[in-house]
Amino acid sequence: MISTIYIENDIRDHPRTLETLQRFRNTTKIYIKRYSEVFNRKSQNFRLQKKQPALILARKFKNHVLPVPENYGIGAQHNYYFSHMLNCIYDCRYCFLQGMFRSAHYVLFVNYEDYIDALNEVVGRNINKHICFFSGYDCDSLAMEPVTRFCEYFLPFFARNPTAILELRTKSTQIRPLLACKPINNCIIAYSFTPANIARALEHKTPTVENRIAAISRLQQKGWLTGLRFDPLIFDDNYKADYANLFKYIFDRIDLARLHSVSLGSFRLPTDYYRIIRRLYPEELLFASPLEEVDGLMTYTQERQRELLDYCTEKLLAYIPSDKFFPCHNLG
Amino acid sequence: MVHLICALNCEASPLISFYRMKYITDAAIFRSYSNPDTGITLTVSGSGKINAAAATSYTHAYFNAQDSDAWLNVGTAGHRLLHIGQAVLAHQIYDVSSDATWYPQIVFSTPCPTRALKTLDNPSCEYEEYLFDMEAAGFFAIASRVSTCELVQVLKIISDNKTQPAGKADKTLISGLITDQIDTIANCIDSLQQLSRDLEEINVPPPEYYTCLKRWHFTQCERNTLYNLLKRWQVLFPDSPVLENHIDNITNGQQFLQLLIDRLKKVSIVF
Repeated sequence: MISTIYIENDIRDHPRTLETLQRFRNTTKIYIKRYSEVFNRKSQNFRLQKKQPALILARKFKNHVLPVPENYGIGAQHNYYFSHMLNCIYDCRYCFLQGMFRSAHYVLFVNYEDYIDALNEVVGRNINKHICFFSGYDCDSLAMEPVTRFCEYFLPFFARNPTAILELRTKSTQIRPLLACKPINNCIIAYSFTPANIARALEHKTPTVENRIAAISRLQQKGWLTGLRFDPLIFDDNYKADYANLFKYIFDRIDLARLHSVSLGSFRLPTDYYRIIRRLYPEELLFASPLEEVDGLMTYTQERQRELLDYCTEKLLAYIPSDKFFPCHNLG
Repeated sequence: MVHLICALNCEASPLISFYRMKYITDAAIFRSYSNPDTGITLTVSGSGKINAAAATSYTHAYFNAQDSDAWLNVGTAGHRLLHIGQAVLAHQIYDVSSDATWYPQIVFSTPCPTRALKTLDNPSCEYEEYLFDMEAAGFFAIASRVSTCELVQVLKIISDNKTQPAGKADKTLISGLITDQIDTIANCIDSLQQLSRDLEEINVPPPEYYTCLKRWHFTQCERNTLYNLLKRWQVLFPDSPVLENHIDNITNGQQFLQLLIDRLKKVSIVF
């Protein structure tokens, strides 16, 4: 658990800082000028820090809301993401955050009000257009919910702005706040999955596939729209059986009527991040697998990618209509 | 390996005894000690941050320290309220004269409380909430260049406070303070040794790497490729050393690299 909290002097009296500190009375508190002097410092080892990550409370000054990379989306005309946190309590070996950040500490930007201003500005610029905001790019949207109270603050904004869709991407079963409030139809709680054997090997500290499905069922029963994200697709010799079983397991248990979307994408990492992560985890089977560099991304060979994507697409489309299917890849 | 840096002989002597370290006679610039069996070295730097930085740099060079080695500055410090003899790890090091700040990353269970520390250029009795010392900033500035912040720590024993201000250093008293906290120091050293071993294990070259370098010629770029391919081989074929079973008809390094590339393309992957 968290034993150290770094706090930017600038937000030491912010209500969310005080509220967060209330939850961690027995931790070491260290006041700092800017989070970057801890988080971005050279000579840090992500893998060692992951043994005991600290929490950093900070203010985000700019770029609260950013456009998403090409090929991402679940049907909206304009797609943006915003990150109230950096890093994640889980430890998924394929995650790009391990290569992007030098530190494994969790950064929580407490100035939610500035995010709301930025969201308002984007919504204002896109009146009568379908826009989607993704919140789980640089963190898991729900995993730290008891600390961040992210849903409590942001969901009312989306309730007031029904043309703006919010995707909460997660592997977490921290759904109590969602079960406690009235569902809104423009919020999608999207769960990421890999087959159980791959999840056990690569998704450390995450809830089991079964528990994630149970969470989806409860959310659907409560009236929430949900999503399924098979991204990244991970190859192994038995991938056909593994993914077929996973899809069957999921679709036997969820309500298609409350399923908003399904997306998938092949495993890929920016080459620079891949090199960093491989150095951190040289014993990892995923990085010893045959990969190749394509356009600055390390990924499976084109042939293997196509095989994986085609197979999973075909299987998924046996369960869902094509208008709910959003592949996040481009094989040219 | 863990490298200890102490300012004074009287701070070092209890540690030298505890870890049965031997004086290294040919270490000419700073007094240095080591015990290869425990993987611990100790260098006596003298007072002040410049001496501490120089001794850290010297230790790095003399002992051919690796990236995975850990570093610990053990010494005494002042504090406004903490009682004499209290052991404290530094979680923040502020160099008053340069206005620079460092944050040791503590990723193990601490055997004692942690506090922020100020490194001063001269002794002071105007105590604050910070620990006062004269070496930590010099030590940390260098050690964090040669190792990762999680493996560089500063452990101080309170030797003076507002009610018992610093006077002339009493060597016996200081040795006693260190001796009384030897278990705490040892606990911290154990944790650092474990982290250092973890990192060393990750960084260890694949088993057949050096044998290949001896057998064939590789350019620097090819060496990097060889290293990465052999690392992958080790993961994918842990029970099948490549040099024992797979090198018939290989006459040079390039052919060997190609063999590895071809074989690693066709591996079975089962999670």
